Amino acid sequence: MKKDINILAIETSCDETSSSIVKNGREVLSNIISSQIDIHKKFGGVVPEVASRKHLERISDVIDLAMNESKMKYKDLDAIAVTYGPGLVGALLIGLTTAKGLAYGLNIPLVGVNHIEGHIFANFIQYKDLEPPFVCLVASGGHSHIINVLNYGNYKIMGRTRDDAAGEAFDKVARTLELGYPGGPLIDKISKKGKADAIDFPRSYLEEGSYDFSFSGLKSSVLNHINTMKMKGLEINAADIAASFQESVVDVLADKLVWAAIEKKSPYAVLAGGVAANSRLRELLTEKCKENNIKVLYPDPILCTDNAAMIGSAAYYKFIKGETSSLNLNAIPNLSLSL
Amino acid sequence: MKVLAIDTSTVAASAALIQDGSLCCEYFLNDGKKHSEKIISIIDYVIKSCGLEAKDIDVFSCSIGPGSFTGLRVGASAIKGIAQALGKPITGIPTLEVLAYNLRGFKGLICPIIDAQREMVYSTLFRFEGDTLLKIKDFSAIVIDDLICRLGPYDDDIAFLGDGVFLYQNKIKNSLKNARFADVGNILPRASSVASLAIIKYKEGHLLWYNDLRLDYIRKSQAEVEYEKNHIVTIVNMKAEEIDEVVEIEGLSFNNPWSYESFDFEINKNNLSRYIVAKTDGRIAGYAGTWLVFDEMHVTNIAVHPDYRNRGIGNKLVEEIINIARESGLKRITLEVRNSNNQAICLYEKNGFKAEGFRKKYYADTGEDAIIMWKEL
Amino acid sequence: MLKIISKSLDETIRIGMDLSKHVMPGDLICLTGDLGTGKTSFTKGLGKGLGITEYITSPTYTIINEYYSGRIPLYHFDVYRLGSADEMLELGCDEYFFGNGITVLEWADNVLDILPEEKLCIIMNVGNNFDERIITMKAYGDKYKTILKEMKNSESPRN
Repeated sequence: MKKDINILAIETSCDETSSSIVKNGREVLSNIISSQIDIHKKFGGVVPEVASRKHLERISDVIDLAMNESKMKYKDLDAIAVTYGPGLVGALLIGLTTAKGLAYGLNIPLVGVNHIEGHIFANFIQYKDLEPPFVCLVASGGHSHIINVLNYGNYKIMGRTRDDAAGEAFDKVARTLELGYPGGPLIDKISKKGKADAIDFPRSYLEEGSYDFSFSGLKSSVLNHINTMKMKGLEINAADIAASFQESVVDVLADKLVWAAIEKKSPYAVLAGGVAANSRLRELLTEKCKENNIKVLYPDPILCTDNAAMIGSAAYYKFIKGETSSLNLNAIPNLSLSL
Repeated sequence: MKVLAIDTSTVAASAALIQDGSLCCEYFLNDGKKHSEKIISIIDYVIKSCGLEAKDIDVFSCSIGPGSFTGLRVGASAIKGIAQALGKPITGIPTLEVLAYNLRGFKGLICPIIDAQREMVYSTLFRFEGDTLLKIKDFSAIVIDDLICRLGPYDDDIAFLGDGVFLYQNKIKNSLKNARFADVGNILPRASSVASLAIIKYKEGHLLWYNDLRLDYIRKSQAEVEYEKNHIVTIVNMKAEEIDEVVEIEGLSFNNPWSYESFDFEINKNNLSRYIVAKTDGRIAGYAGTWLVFDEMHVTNIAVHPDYRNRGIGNKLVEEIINIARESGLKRITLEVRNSNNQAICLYEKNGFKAEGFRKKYYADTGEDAIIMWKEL
Repeated sequence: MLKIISKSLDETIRIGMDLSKHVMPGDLICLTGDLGTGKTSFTKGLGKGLGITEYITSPTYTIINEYYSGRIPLYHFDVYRLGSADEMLELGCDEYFFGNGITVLEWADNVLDILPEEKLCIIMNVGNNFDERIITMKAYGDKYKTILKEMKNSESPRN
């Protein structure tokens, strides 16, 4: 009988301290997420120094909880997996150095995982039978990528943002509308009360055939609109602005993902990352895919947020190929997916 | 006994292993590169050089600050990770003590200074009495000119060390005739000093588990400092002109809010009532209302504006009404809370209230029960 | 002081590329200007000129992006999200300022009081029309004055 592979995974790239035990890449035995969102909310965004301090305070307990819930012993582990980028460098370092200490102490390999790659693997956890190839949109606070997932660990980036990430545009617009932080869920919520066609914000498709994104211009248009309204002394309807802005973003995201799926003959259009939790994106994508006979896949909300289970899943497929990392691995804030 | 210690609190990284009272190996690296990359390799080198493995170590130790925030965290994460994997205890040693220990045997005063940026240093004044390190004065984070001024009255030799010396040696030399400076080998924290102090702590029984290690940054993060400056919460008696704001919060908090008239009566006409408000950012963040009846306090309503929830304001209000009840010589406090309002129930329980009964279907809107809570004073 | 008019985003990128020919390890370049004036585009040009092959994107989210594929490392900061200069110090930024790469700082005016005295400040303003930008470069310190002199001399007959 083939031996089970158990991986302890750690993720600290932003403001969630998370640890998970994943068996054979797909079975999540535990997935503990300690969110700092309530702490950062009052500052209106993630404060790097505060995030790093909290990660260090919480990491050991989070790992203990993950171990206890999984009923595993340290001797049952085959590898330690950890996110080493992209993300806030000070935050990444806590998870990375703790992981190195664990790997060194247990004398088992360390497997460094790219955070964006991790988000894709949330879908392998969600859908136990899902196999590559397929086309996936990874969109979150820091990233917007359309990725052709050819095989485990083999990716072709079809498109990426040329300026702001989708989630970042959400945060900036939410801040301008004084909705608070984090912007994504707040805009999603208030948009349900607004009219998506109230304001005709531009949709930036860039040049023909490009799968790249650009949200910087849209962000400027929203700012312009608000300033113009203010100068004219007109009332600003936050719900309408949010809904129209959101529609512009998700329309482009959904269109490009569908086109990419058609070009690559992918039977699935797969969503991953924090923005994948946006209800309007899911709805619109489902509509557009129906016409083209493409199946829409997305993970549960808990797997859309930053979590260690997805890192453990990605690490499994590296581990079985012998792709382990040196204990001199560095944290890279803008780690790119193309290796 | 085998102790493995590291220091990553300044630009240099070091690791040392003391076995049965003698230093077996010390590795000191000051190459300007990042600690995160090398720290495990350095630890491994030191352990292997002594012919040991990580699992043979009895106690792991690291410096806990002050120092470079990132450097300290890298060191602490590495040590915590190893100790957690092996189930071994750890000790944390304050960096200023580590520095002082570099000069064991020095007869005068020892003044470590660690760069705290913006012309400030972290500093404590020490003296050795025999082998024991005594703390003479703790300066915390201090402007370098103020430190020099505070050291003026001391006649003994004062030995300076730490990375602050690289920045302020001339300034100190020009102002203090009794200033001495550590030689180049002792100027930065050394892991062998961390290990020596760890043994002392071990003998005193000061051992921790990996989850209990806390760094002493001395400083709060700047974002918190700014936040607290802008968001001081003060609690004062409610005034009549504040009724409008309080009614708004009441409306945002309850299904059957009290009207303006109710509050007007409470503030202006009811002699038994006592109302307080929590103020921050120049507005009212929350309020609490009470009646003082014989020797009991009845809490009528407590609410916090949605913008200010989860910031401990509710707790401050509860603490304040308890104070008022005590000062007024009352014997107990009582209140009613909705069965479903878990957050509030937790808040009251935390402050010593106990559930002692129900009022069935007390709330007309949902038919929910009210829990009656009491606190004896 | 050097003032250059850029007529388009592409030209802003080219001006960044021009600057890349004159910079050296340890240099600090501060960019100021409103949202959408082309700070990131300018940095893209600078990075391209340095031979960086990776995509240069806005570091708003991570605050620092590091690029090592060019002839000199590029450290790209965006301090828009930081509340104060002291938060910048907490990031260990001085390791970068005096390190072995070029540091580019967007929204530098937020943290001016902790920056080294010697630096190159670049201010980007909207010009006479929607696409036009007025790029003003001010040198603080001799090595940056030399950079501006070299840029003036080598200014191509573009205009």
